[in-house]
Amino acid sequence: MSFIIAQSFYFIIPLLIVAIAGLFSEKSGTVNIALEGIMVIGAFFGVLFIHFMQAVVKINMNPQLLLFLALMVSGVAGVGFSSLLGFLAIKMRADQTIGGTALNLLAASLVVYLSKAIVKDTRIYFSAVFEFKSNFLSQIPFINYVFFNHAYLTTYIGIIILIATVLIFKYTRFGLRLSACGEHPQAAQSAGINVIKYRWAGVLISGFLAGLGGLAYVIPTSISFEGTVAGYGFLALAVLIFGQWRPSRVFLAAIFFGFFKTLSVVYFGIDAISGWMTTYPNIPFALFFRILPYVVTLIVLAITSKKSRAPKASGIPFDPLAG
Amino acid sequence: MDNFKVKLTTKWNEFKVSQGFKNITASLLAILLGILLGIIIILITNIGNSGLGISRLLLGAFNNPRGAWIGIGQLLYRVTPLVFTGLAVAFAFKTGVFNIGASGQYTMGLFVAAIVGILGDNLGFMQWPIALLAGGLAGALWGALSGVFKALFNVNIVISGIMLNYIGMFLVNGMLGGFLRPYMVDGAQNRTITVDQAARTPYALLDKIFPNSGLDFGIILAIGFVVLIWFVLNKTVFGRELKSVGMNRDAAKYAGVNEKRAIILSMAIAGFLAGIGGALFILAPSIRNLGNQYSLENVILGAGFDGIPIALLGNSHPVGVFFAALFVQYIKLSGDPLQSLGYASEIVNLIIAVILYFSAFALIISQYVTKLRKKKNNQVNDDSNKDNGVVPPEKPSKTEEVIL
Amino acid sequence: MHNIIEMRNITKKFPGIIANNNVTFELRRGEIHALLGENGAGKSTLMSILFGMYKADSGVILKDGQEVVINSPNDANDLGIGMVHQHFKLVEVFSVLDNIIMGIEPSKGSGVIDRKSAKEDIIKLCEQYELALNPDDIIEDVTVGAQQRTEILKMLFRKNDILIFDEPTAVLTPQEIKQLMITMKKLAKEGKSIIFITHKLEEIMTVCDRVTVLRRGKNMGTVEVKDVTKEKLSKMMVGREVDFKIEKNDMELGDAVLMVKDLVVINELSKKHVVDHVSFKVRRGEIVCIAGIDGNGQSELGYALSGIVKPNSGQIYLNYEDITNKSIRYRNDNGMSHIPEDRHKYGLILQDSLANNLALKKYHLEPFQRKGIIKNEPINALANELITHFDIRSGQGAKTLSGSLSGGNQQKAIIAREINKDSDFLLSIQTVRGLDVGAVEFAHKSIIKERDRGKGILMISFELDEVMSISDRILVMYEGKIVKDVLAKDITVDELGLYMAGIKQDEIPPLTLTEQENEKMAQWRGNK
Repeated sequence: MSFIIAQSFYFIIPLLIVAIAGLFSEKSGTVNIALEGIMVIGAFFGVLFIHFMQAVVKINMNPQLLLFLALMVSGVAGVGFSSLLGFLAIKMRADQTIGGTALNLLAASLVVYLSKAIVKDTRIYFSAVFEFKSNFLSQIPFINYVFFNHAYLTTYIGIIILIATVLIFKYTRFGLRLSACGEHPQAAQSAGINVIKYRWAGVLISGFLAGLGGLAYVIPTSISFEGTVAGYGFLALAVLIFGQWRPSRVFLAAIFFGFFKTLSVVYFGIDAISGWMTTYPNIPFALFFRILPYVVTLIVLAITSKKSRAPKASGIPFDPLAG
Repeated sequence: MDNFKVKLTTKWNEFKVSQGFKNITASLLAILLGILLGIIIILITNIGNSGLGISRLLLGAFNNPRGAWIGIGQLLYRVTPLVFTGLAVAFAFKTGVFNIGASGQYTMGLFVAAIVGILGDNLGFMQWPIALLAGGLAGALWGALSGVFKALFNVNIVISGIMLNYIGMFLVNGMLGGFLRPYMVDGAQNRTITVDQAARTPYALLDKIFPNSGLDFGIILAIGFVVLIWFVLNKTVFGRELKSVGMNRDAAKYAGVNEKRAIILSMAIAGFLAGIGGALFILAPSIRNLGNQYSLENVILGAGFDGIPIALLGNSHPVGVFFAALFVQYIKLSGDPLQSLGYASEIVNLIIAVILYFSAFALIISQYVTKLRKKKNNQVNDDSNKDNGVVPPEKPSKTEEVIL
Repeated sequence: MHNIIEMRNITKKFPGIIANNNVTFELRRGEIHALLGENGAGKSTLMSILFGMYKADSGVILKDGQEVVINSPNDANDLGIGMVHQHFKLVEVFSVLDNIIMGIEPSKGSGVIDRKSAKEDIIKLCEQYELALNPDDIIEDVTVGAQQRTEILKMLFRKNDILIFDEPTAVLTPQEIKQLMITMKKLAKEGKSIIFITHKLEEIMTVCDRVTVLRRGKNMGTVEVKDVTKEKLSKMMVGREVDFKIEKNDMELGDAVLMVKDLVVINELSKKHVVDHVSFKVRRGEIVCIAGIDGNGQSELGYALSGIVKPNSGQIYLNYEDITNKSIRYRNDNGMSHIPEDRHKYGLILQDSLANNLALKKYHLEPFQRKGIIKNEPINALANELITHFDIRSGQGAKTLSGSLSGGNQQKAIIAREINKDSDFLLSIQTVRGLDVGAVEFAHKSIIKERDRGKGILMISFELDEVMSISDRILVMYEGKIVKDVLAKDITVDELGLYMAGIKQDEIPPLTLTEQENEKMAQWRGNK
């Protein structure tokens, strides 16, 4: 059981981080369809950095420190890539959905191209040494297992990001103004707020978090990166919509969707299910659990989308000169 | 004769200031920027071979080792699925819907056509048309699903499209890898076996004109559908209604159009087109009648996504889509020749993605350029519209509302 | 007498129009100064320049005699200039408090907002200026009057001394308007200088000290209110005698072309009965006008009648046929014309040609299509006919993109299309919004012509002038209910105001059908 909970964190945390990335962008007024592409870029540069440090420089560094630096690299890469979205959406006021899609395609091909060029392979391998193995609080075996013995730095970072986001939007000037820019930018402008600046902030923060989230997705779940995050960026969008653009609800939504994604990987480890599998060998359980997260996404969105209330001005380009 | 010349020049002058002209220049601009980037990447990667590399990039389809003529044949053969996915995305765009799920519809069409093509032994000479039609209908169903989610439940169409892409892929690979495996899959290669002879698209003499290029009747079908779609969109009441939903959803509703029905039908037709594209791929006899196979790798087929830049470059106009598809396939065919020079073939995909990025705002750039030119010539504005209504400052004009 | 603000020789051009033409405007400290003019006269533009939202092409602005540069609302705010816009600049999901402090949030450090001290300051201001407001309410839940008070408080919180009000009374009840006038007087007494943009003469006479009249971008003069009459101001505003009364013949009333029985529309989100058991009839040959403040259910009633929204219960009869559940297209094809509230949202497809828009409700019928294929010649012929007959000015005739027509001509096109349908029943909502006097006259004349031809017309209007001048019969809607059903000649504006504000409410008897009408309805049901 602890195993399953621990595994689900590996899926929930990146979903949470990337959904929050989408939150910053959309709350400030820019629809970010490119979360998928930014994740890919972030994961690529992060894994490349780790690979470089481990295999080339062969540095002897504390793995947590290495991971932290790699996460920063991913974040910065994400910022760079998302500035393409910012340019298109904020400066050129072009269609954000098309632009976001373009960036997704760009990321996919860019990453394969660079991968082949730099490591002569489409996969970049790294040594999986980042798991926390601490005996802290071992008196409570469950807590110890999930949070300290099979955890990753990314789990803590994810939770910190969540808490910070809640605080920012509830209590700070920055949060209030950012929200205003996504709800009614004309009102914000006439109140003296520089809408363009805040929208850029929203997009760039979004890029940082999505890039970081990309690496956070790869590290706990595999030993290589091969250029895709399997639609995670879009699942994060669904999480954002399901969470109605509120950080605390987004967290719950991330747990919900992350759970199904986890199931698709660990289903055979659950005694009840493996029992069914032996009893009914002809039912395609593997296929079922594989498509389950995507199907659940569709069903949940179908139920909740009618009353959906996105930030009012999100997706609408802002023209500072049109009073 | 002079009269004809005068008519031609006035038509040309009219065209020059029309929206259509602006759109074409915008597309050409995006293409130019994309190719420029490709050239830069070639120069950066390996400046030594760059001269040859750039020429191979620009020669595109003509790079064919068996000669330029066969290259054209190969171009026309390979472009067929792209024309259909381009039409699939473009048709949906006309109704204001972004059909990012074209890949899923394409895959479904391919899959069902393969089933009929491999297992439909007793259909005789009808095997091909039935396989084709079945593929189209499968795609239509898959597209309609997205449409239903949008029209009835207001689910964001991009998300439903992507979800259905994944669901479709996993379902198809799951079934092919599961109970269909013994009938349809070549275990060693992990690919589907080729379809029966009776299910293959006829060459229709095109293999005599372009020998060993793989070109078959599919290209004729593609051209036929371009004309058909153009006709439906521009000459029929049905097409007019779909377009009105894309231009102004509320006004269309007010005028009596049932927009839910419009969205679902539009997505069904788009899915049908993509499905036909997938079906034509798997049913193609290909070079020397070797046939085509579908790989069970868990990868979403790129043909569907290629439809997006094609639709945008062609400004969602059927004829534009055709030429845009030709261009995209043309560039793609420089992939292998570039690879043999030591440049990764992904350069081509990169270029296409960059072109898509620029096409998102190429129109705005070209509007900006026209504005600059107007300022220079100090054009006095037409007073005939002055009527005392309040005139707001210029807002960037959107030609289509995209429904999410 | 000291000029706190001077705007000298301001000129501002937009493509195709000179919004402000060498305008000079002076504001004295402590006065309430009206800026009067029709739609499009340049009032909003001039004030937007003062508030820093536009930059003038030429001219200077002085404050207290010193030349100043105003490039943004921030600059304006630094000079103490604040503005309450016609369309409120409020974030709906924020509280009153957050809307007020947005942009100048007080903080005890490191960016954390000090809401406590802000709330105290706001409550103090409310007491000082006698404004009733609860800082914790969410904006989308409060009345329009409260929203406007929030806008006022935004200015007071920023210690603005020069307050610009842009058409503030357009959305208020007569009682709320009275309250606003009292507030303005109080503000002026406390030393604020107020600019009041309006085209409502009555209000100017009530509360203002001076008036500046703009016409077609030019300043026609500044006068003391005590020295002028409404008629004189009106003449300055339009340049000719304006006929407040419209010539109408008496008509014999015919059958009830529209009957509404016990109609209910419930808002999905709020569960409120926005249309609450409404019943009334419209007969051939009469113009019935639904008066009321925007937001009392008129829009939803209009949507239910046209078919855009399905009512929750009740019936609608068109020519005695029950059309409650019929599609929009059915209503269009069977006797209903509709001039919509929002001409850009519903009335026109701006990216499409004028011809296609004029044929928007007919292209699916013969002769405009045969077997599903569109025929362009009949469409163009119709378009040209309408363009001539209704004098729709367009750059390239039938081919013109309707988006490039001016607002007045766009509305003419919609009116042309709907009248051309020759329907028995015409529903016209906010017919003359944003139109200049000439276009208003034309629209009203066209509607009266249809009435004289025996059509039944239902108008929904928020302009009391229009209601009083054009209606034969008036219905007042308040909080979703009809609270008054009276012939226009039997009621005064003031009494109307009482009903509009819900202060008086009549019991409206349920729908009664004459024997003849019952027969006709039975006939319909029998014919099916």
